[in-house]
Amino acid sequence: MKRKWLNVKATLILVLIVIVAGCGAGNTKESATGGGNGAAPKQQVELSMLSSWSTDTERGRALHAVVEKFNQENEGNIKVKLDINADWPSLQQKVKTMIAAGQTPDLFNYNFNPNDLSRQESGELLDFNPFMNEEWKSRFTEQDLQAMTVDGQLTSIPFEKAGILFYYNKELFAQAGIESFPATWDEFFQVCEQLKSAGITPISLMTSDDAWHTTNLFTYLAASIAGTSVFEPGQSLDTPEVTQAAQYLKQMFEYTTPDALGGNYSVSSNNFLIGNTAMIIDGPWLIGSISEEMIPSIGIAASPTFGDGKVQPGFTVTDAHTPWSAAKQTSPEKEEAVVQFLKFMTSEESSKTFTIDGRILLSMRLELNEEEVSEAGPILGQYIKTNSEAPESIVNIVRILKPAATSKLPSLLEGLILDKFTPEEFAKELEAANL
Amino acid sequence: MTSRQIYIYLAPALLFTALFFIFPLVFLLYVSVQEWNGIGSMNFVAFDNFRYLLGDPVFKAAMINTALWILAGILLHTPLGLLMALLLFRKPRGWKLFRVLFFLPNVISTTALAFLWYFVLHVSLGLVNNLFKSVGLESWAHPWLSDPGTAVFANMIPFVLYIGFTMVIFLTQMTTISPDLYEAAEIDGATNVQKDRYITIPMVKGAIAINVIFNTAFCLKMFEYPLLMTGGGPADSSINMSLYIYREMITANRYGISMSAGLMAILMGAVAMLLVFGALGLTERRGKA
Repeated sequence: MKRKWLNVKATLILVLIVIVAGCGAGNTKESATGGGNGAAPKQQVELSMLSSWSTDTERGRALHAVVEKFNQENEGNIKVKLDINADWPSLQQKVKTMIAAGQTPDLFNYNFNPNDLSRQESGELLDFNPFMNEEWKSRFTEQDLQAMTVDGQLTSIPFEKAGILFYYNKELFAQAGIESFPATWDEFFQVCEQLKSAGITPISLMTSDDAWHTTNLFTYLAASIAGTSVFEPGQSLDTPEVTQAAQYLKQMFEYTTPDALGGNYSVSSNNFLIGNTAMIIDGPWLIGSISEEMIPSIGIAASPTFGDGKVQPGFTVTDAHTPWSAAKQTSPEKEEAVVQFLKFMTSEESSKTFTIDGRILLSMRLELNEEEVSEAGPILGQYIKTNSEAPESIVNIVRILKPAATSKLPSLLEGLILDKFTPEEFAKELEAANL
Repeated sequence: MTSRQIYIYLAPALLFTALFFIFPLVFLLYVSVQEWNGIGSMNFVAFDNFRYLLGDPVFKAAMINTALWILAGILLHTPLGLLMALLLFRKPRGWKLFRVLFFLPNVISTTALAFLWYFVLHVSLGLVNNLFKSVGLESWAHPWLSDPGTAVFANMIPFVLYIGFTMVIFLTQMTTISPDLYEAAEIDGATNVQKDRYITIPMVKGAIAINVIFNTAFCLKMFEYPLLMTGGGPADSSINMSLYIYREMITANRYGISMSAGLMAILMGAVAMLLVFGALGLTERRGKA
């Protein structure tokens, strides 16, 4: 009996050892490749880089090419290992959890939101100020560096800042007898009416997830009414201008597809891509999904204005800044490797790769000659040109609201369209959620 | 077996229960009285999160919709499963094929089924609306998923119709009924309906209880259909508890409110289970009396 008892005890101990060893193994791996406080390997510094840019996308392929080139140039000294999670929202959640657990990834990108500075305030991120020499600084605009600075610390390096522009189908416009893209909102509504009369659905909209295409339109309308500072942090959203923008937005739902209510990004963009709608407001990433046959029909335009001088013609709505951040390091070698890699990522050469091959519009300064612009293709070339001529810009509202308001925005939009809320109540509810 | 051996056999289960149920439950209780965005320090707010939930119309809608899901599970899904099991139990021609066909959706991922039904019920591309249009019933075409009056019920359709698992549990129980009972009933001149009513159904009461409990638990946890078919909309009309908890945590970053809602969901589940067990116990006692 005693022997049996000993056997049982031995088995139990073995099980516990396996469990504990399993947990321990996880920790060891984290400290070697991730985690800001891990000791750097003696010979080669390894950096783990979290991103959602998988190689089935143009941007993913560009990122892999840049990382591969850096690894080749630094063979034996630094190795950047990409850790791809294509689901952007879950990646964002993972990064937040890792920061909360004190295991911040060596490198990661995220949507900067001035109303959600939880990452910056965690104290877990590397401050790039001591490394920002004149040469590196000259790659960015002062405004972008300022925007990324929180409490005097530059914990994020500006990277992606995509302008969101109007795509329109010239063939469908021609069918409705429209010759050019409207310059004012009055003309825009006339164009919508003309398209509708010709049996063409004017615009792709959506309300599900982050209601991306709809919030682009809403931001354009609100900025056209009140200027590009309309959503600056600290400003109330319960204003006559926001109410008026909501009123126009509600009107625009008369010119969209029946599946816009409850539709998500793919529903909305597919409606444009298969020629069901004549317009969509989106970023440069849509270009890769446009079929070869459709390319000659697609035009790119800046937003209409009300012509009252509140905004300058050609202004743009942009996606959030999507900068790169890094974990605070205890090893100087690793810290140096992080900075060296980010300098490489933001260099003129890498910027060209990201823009032309990856179709990413960047915060970094970039001058492309005619040949390079044409190399980018007819739509991207036109896109880069329109975007670079923008005299001012505003970030899409959904990227700058507090998370609670972002979460509520789709249902508020649906309530507005379904007459559950008046435009005044919409503005009031949005402000209440953003407090 | 000595008491020491009993403890040893129980130890792994107790260890894992403590690790993966008790500890998370304690953590949930702790966070439910805090204000926390997932990073940084927590602020103790006592019962503010619960007060917020009680005043939030979206949370109220989530509770009502979850209750509707449970009712659909008990009053529609379970009886449909029983009806189909009664039909197949008579072994009509091709019954084995039908059994496989009815069970098939249970081995397909709910995500795939949700997308399938999204396109079946889609306002312009959908099979249902196009079918109505093709037979001249154009006025019956409806935005099933984007009308606040139909969205929650549209979400339930695949769950109510995919009765395979429920049906198999009933069929399994039915195969244990002695054929002698049916032979005796036939000698007495009982019809098929009478045999179902007086022999089969009373003999599968245990399976009915199991199915009601399973389906109640399934409906309390339901997540994929509301998320993928309507996203809880339009205007939160089809949101349920799981989606509310998810949204508060992942999109709104309000972990405290999300955990409070999670606790409320656990309480709701406990109440639902008590009611189900109570109702089943009552039926049992009535049967014995």
